[in-house]
Amino acid sequence: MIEIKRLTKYYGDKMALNNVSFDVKDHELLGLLGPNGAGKSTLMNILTGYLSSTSGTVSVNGHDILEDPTTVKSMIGYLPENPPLYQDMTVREFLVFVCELKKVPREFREKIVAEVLSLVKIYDVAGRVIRNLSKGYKQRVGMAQALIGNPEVLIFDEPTIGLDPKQIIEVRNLIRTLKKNHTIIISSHVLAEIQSMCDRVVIIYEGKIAAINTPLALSGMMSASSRLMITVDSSSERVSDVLRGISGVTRVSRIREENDVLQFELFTDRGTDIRREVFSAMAGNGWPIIEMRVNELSLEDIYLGVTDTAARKGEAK
Amino acid sequence: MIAYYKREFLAYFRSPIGWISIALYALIGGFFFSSWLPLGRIDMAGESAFLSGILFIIIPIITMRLFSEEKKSGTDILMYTSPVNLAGVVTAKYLAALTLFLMMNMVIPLHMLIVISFGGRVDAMAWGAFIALILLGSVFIAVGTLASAATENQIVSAMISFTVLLLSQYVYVFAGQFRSLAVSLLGALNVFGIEASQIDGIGKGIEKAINWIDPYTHLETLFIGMFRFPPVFFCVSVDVLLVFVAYRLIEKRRWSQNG
Repeated sequence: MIEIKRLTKYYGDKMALNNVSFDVKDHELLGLLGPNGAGKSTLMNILTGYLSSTSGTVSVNGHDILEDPTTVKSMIGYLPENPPLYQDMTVREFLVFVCELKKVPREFREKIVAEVLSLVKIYDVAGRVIRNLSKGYKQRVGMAQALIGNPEVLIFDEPTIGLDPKQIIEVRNLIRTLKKNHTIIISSHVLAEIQSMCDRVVIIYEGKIAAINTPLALSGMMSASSRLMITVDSSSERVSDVLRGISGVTRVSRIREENDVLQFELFTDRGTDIRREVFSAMAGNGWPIIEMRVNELSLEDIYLGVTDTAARKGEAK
Repeated sequence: MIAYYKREFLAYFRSPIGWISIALYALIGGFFFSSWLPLGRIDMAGESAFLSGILFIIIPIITMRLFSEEKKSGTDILMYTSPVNLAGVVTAKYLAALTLFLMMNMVIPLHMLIVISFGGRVDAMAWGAFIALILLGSVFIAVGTLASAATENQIVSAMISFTVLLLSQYVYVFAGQFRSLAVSLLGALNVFGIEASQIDGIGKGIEKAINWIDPYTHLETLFIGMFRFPPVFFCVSVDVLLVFVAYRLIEKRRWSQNG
């Protein structure tokens, strides 16, 4: 669907993107993750034809953005970090204007605007001047303009920034709904957002790709070991010895001791599942397990791990 | 292109700019018109010439926001990422400002109508001056469009076009001064042994060349009611050239921005 090959972008002497390459598949929801200034917005601006790259190519459905910009632009709906809204227009006027820009035939404009208004739930403010809308509504009008013309690709730059928690949930749900009919790229520095929504994650650090994978696979990739958290209803000193004796356990760490309840973190080799053995060992000694859970690495751990590694490599050079 | 034309034109009336420009123009035109009434005759050509004298104030106001506003509000992204032709967008914005200017100038045909309805006569000079005013305005709007494309700040844009348009009214003065300067310099440093008459000829040539870029020079004949094609061709060519340069500036700024 989208092919990005060896994309490099300089702003003067400063390199904003360094040899970035990846593909986005049909109906995939891809997340771009990185700190501020990592190059996410630059990458999105190049993908949408707003900026040119210094070198490298971007093609959508086989059409190169520089050689065939009009075709590529007609396939992309873009919501930049600050929604591009004419504040003096009403929501409906603005969306009709966008229909005209995207060459939607006159006879379909009213219908398409109505569909988009109801999809992003802004029907009730359709007649209001954009200047007078709240930040959340403006963001949704920005999404509505991206959806006009039913583009195959949607690119959202920090779509939930500045929204309240209720609005964030609504926008995330909307993006999940849109995934059924669109290929979507979103950028965010909110790790939970990317983790909960995206099929794949591209981590960008200082203009380079630090990692590309599914959120789950990235967790596995970064984890040198698996961690199991266990809380046992016992005050016996023998508990930790018994846990150490279980095959596959490499390290046992006592985390908490409180009211005759002990909490441990067990480290195992990657891919080793010891939950059954732990259960049997505890039950055999008459120590009830109150809680047992696998501690997956969060995307935050991955992100920090990957960016730290990248930073260390940079320093070593 | 039509979408941007409509948007820009209607935007004038969503803000006070469109209304104030029309009202101010009508007020000044009306003042001139009514001042002739006690004399029992109306100088319609004079009204157009009089109004041409305030263009350097009004035109910067109607053109300052054309592109500066887009960059400031971030709507330029929509312009660049939509499947539209950028040259068409620049032309549409120019034409929207020109349409507002034409609307403002409708006060003159209205006054002509009043003159005719009272049995008066509107002569060729009145029509010639009216057309000259429109052509002059079209060039000034092109200057304003270029100034707006050159900067991200509306006030700076207005100041640039105001200064250029104000100075344009004195091109003939500069031309005369350059002529005198050239003649005195060539006379004082006559290393080539040029005759005095030839030096004077060179001076005249310099003055003529500078005056050639002055739209007023070309429109003189129209202001006195003589219809000729070259002034129209000159003004339209300058419009096209300036709008093209504005388009190139927008393109260049897009690729060179540090976003």
